[in-house]
Amino acid sequence: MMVVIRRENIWTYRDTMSSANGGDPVILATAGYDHRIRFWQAHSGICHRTVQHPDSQVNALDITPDKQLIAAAGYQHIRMYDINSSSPNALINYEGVQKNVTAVGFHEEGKWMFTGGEDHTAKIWDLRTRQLQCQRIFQVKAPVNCVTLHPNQGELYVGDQSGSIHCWDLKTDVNEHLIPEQEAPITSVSIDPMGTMMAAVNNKGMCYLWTMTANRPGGPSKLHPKRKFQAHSRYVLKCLFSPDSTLLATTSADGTCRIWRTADLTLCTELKDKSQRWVWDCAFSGDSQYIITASSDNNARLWSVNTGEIKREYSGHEKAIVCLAFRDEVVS
Amino acid sequence: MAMMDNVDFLISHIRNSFVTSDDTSMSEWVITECRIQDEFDTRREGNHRYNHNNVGSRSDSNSDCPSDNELKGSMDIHPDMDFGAHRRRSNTAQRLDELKKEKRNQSKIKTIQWKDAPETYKAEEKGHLFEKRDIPSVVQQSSISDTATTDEEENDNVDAGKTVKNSKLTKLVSTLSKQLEELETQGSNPFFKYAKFDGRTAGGQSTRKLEIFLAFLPPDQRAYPMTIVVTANARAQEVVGLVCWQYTEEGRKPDLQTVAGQIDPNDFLNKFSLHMAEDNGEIDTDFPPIVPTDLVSKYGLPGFTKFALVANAPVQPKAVVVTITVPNRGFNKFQVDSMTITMRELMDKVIKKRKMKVRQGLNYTLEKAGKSEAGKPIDLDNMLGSMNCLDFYIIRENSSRGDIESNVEEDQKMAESLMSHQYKSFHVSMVHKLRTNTEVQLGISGDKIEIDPLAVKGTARLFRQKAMTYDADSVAACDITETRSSGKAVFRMTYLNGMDYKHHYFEADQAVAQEIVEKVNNILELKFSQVRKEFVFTQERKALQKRDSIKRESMKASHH
Repeated sequence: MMVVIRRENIWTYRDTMSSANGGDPVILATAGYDHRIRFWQAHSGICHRTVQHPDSQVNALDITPDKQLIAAAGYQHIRMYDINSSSPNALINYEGVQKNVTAVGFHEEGKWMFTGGEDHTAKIWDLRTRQLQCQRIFQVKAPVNCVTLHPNQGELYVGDQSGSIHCWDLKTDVNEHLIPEQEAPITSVSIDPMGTMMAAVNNKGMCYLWTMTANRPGGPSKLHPKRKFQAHSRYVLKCLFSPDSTLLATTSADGTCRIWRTADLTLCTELKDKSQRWVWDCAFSGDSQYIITASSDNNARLWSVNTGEIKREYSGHEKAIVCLAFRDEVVS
Repeated sequence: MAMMDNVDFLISHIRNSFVTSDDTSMSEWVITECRIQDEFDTRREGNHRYNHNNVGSRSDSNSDCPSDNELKGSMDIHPDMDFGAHRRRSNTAQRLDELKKEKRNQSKIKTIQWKDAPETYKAEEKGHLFEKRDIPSVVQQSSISDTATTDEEENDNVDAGKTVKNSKLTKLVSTLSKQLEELETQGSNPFFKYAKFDGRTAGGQSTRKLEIFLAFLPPDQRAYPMTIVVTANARAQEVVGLVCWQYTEEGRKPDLQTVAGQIDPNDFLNKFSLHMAEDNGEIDTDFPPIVPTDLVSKYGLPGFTKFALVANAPVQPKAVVVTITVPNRGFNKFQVDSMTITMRELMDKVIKKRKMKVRQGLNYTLEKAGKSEAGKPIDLDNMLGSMNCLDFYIIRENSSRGDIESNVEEDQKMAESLMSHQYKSFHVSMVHKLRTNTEVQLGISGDKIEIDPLAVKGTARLFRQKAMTYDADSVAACDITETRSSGKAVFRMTYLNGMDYKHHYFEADQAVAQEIVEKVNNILELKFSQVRKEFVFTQERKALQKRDSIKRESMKASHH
């Protein structure tokens, strides 16, 4: 059966635009408590644009797959801004959510957006106007801290405050959940781009690693516990696999970001700076050679993964930066 | 609506409407009076005037308990606001405007409310929307091998090691890495840390637009200020930093290194100072330079947006003259454009000029002038800039300069008189008739004489000396008029102003005064300008007249 979807939405419109104006291949945006989103020239460290995010801090950022819009999750709303315009105002405002929205992300073709929030739900939003086909709600029993989409685009992993990770198979609506450690809120979940490993971190400084066997029919991928280790002595705030799957970065309240080799979980580099405070978020460059971190000391930093040396500092925010969004491209 | 059956609210609303739509302000006056009357009545009648029960038994008005503000009418309107004076637009009107603006902004923003799906999710119906994707086979392959060996850790290690190698073999490069590399080869802007004060990208932060005249530019470009937008939280020194950053970023010439010498981005603030400027870019000398730690927003008056950036270091390094003495055979002077010339190049110049013979075993070297430096050859590969000295001796190896220092002084004097046209500046105090002396810098060159006031703390602004420049051709004479026992001397400079000769008196140490007078006189002699001629002529005539009169007097006396 052929399914004809009327694509009268912003995505098609954007698609034609993107080929026309090109845009910067590298996009870096940071945001946090100062109600502003700053866009940076990642290689030079120059801030080239700032937009307002009134009424609320920004909890999470993500860039749409076509690199035209950036979504900022805040208190009771998700706002979308045009990346390539100079307007200081948002383009679209998604509302109707209780409390803070803590996570935001996109399907790789931009069909839908997923969010997670303190209202104990993960939501899927249909991005096509006047269509509600994709609208879904996934209810959990505690505030949602993080939502991660499996690279196969069909499974959502939801980490919550009670310490559960919910594995939600979107197609079959089957879900499972696991609790690595009772009463230790899951702060972040990451799945490597090959879909073979999953990492989760909690507020006790622990990091858990599973291997995944892909595409079991009728349910989410199967998880095999592989390793558990103390990554930091304090809260871990974020974990992230590198694009080449060889590295795992963990950022922490101890003011460092540690990069581990996924092969043997030995420490590859510790990214540390005297003035750095809580490190909330991080992103790897396309070739896994660099990592960008966001910290409460109002600065974001670009580090060389191998040497642990600071290459750039992105300074300009007036309050803590808690999230960043970064897109890089791989050439040859 | 619960509010609409609230009598008090309705009345107050109607009143407000009258007031806000009436430009004559008469209704406001009437209503205010009426309201006072009302309140009086209400109190007397014990709230019976508007019987809530008549309006509706289930009215919320009691529970709504209209606040004081509502009873008075509105928060927006105060009876005494503009009464009697001319009537401004009311606060309500202003707020309505604001709301309108907000609404206009809002209308640009598309708002999408969360709505639940119309029916419950059924995999058969909507499953196609959430189809899983195959992860690309290349990636897949390696992932399979990865998972296959995961249970045994040792194998795992080896495997992951392979993956690392593989990724290195394919050599992925990202755009960011490329850009970083490119930037590294270009060299980055040393004033980078000031870029964050650039208000052009500050989005909503309060900013100030300033026009900065760059006093170090060549005169033809100086009239065009550079426009910067700075965030209001920037201090004056950060404005300087931002100007330097933007200047470098725009690739302007001459670059700042040539303007102010080697710049250390962490310590360059002493090289520049920020001054208030007039509209035409001239530095406003009525005000001292801006304190580096002052916020720019402090200079918040709309008119004061023009500043001038002055490079404190010499604008163009003046050509230096190097003297190289050949023992017993006089000296050579060279004008050198840059301090980076090596000593060997200098020595070669002398040798070439003098056609000195350099034979095997007959090498020359250089020594610094001064007795203590005798017999200490310098490293010829060093640059002139590192020598801290402009006088050298050329010495044949294995010989010494001998006792020639005494002759040199003679030569020095001679040279000085020949070099009197070269610029030299002196610190002297200017003598005024009616007030205390002021410290000035006297700059003397072949073309002109400049008097620049030196800023002294506590100098009353009223008495601040103006900067003056006299063309050397208008200077008629310079001589010492008084020497004091304190070691000071007063000298007089005479110049032609229009038709009259005027004088400036200065005080300085005797030696300095002597030097200045000699220098100026040397210049006057060399130039022998019209003014000088006439002055000398009149002086001579006066002297003659005097002599004649004395003669006559004496003759008269002898006659008697």
